[in-house]
Amino acid sequence: MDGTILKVTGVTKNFKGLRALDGVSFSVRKGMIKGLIGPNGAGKTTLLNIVNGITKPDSGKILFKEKDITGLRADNISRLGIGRTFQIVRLFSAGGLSVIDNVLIGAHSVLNPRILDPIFFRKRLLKKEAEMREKASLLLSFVGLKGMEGRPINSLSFGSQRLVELARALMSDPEIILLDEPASGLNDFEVGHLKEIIISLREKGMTVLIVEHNIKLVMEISHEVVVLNFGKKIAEGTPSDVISDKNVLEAYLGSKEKWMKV
Amino acid sequence: MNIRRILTNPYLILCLSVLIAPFVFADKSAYVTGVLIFCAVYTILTIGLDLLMGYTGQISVGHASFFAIGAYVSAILTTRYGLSPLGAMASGMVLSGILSWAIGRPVLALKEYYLAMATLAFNEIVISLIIGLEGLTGGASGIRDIPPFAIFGVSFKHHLLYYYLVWLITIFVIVLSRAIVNSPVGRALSAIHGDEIGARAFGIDCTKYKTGIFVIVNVFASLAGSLYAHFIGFIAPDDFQVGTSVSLLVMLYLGGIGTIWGPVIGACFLKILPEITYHFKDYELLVNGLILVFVLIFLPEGLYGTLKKITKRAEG
Repeated sequence: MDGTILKVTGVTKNFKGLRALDGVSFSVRKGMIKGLIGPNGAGKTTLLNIVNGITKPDSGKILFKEKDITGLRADNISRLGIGRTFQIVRLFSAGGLSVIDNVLIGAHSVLNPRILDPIFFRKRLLKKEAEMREKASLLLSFVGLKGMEGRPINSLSFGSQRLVELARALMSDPEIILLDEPASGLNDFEVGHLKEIIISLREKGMTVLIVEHNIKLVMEISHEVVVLNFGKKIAEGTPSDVISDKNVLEAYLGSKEKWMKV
Repeated sequence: MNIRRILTNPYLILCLSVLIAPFVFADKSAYVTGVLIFCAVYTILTIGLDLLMGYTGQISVGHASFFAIGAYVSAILTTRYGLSPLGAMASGMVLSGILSWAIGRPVLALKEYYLAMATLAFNEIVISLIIGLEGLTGGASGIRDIPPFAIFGVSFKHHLLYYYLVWLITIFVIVLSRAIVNSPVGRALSAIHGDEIGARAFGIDCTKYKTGIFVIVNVFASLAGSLYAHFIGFIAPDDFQVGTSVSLLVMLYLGGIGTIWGPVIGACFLKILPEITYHFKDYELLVNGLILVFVLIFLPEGLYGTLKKITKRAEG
């Protein structure tokens, strides 16, 4: 193997007659940042949902470290080492969960407590929990949210909530992390901050599959980019290859003039 | 400030209240302890409902089902098969656990209104079975002469003694429930409550936790049923109708959902309220209803939330 960690082959998905994905194939090598771009409705989020088990594909295969994970349940896939953030933030506010509680949910697969463990193995569980709490604090400082631990999750700005999601996804030390439009809804300053975080993840050797509408960001951070349009892969390669690809310019950006303005 | 913290410790307040309550109304002590025993039984039931609804977000309109199963298993095994009350109680809890595990998976796959309908239907099924299986359950006329509770031959026939035992068990249930919710498991339950798909994406096996908590709360309900049956000595299907399930919901919201302490206050409040409003004679139900409506409208966080706010304001 050439260090391929994630391999998507011929994935097809229909939603009641709408072909969301049509035989999409690509692979992600270890330590790589792979960008996944395409116009609205191209099937990017659907693809991420299929990789982490929220949606089941009609056909095609997902191989993670050469293991077939197609159709496995999301909780099992998460435990194998695939982390993710969501396009529409999915933070947990029920029961008054705080910022650090939300990050700690990311450590669930590490703690993985059985329901009676808090009664019969309380000491051991709380000891592990304390370690995780420390790690969660470190990750919160890593994403720039030091001191926010005890705040109710709803009291954070949208941009900060996205960063909480990122910290949460990193809690279980995933081997690959799927980022679904992490920059959407962020202002320029926040995008800059996010970029720094992703670059430092890249330097740490983390593998990232990022779906993003902010082309500038994707082009700056990615090693390779895959372009989808109406569920089909229309281009794949280095950012500079993709930018000059004719199909991409026509199908994705509409016209060359518009692209020049960006 | 430490003294204030000790004085507002819920465990301390509860233990002291439990200790002195029977002596406050010394003149009609046996009756008062009886009411207070019901308070304990309903507290156990409502705490279970809180774990299921308040923490895990799974609606139940049939929480009296396993209350009935516990009571009937105790009654049948002691009156017909001569089993000891302790053995009968344990059998009821084991049976309830197994039954909840078996029905938990399919039932809890349903959500919201559908889950509400399914639990309500289960309650009706249990009642129909009790009425239908007359040979075993005594049908609509119920079972009488259930022996008082005893542990290894030591009888708890004396009301005051039984009162302390039942509340001791209730406090134990509170301790266990709080241990579960104040832990990573409690956090996972809150995550399931908030967003099941999201929870799954972080490795939380929702089915396992939902089924697990369902088993626990139904074992609690069965325990409450046995404690109830051995105290009152006579049970009939009427005690376990959907109406009982609904009043458990009222207790839960009245006390404060998702707090564990709320159910204690809610259950005691609703059980003691009629003892006070009965002075209004013909207007009893009206006054009862007015008080409930007032609490639900003006104290949306329930009695516990309101009390907590008041003590916090006093501190700050």
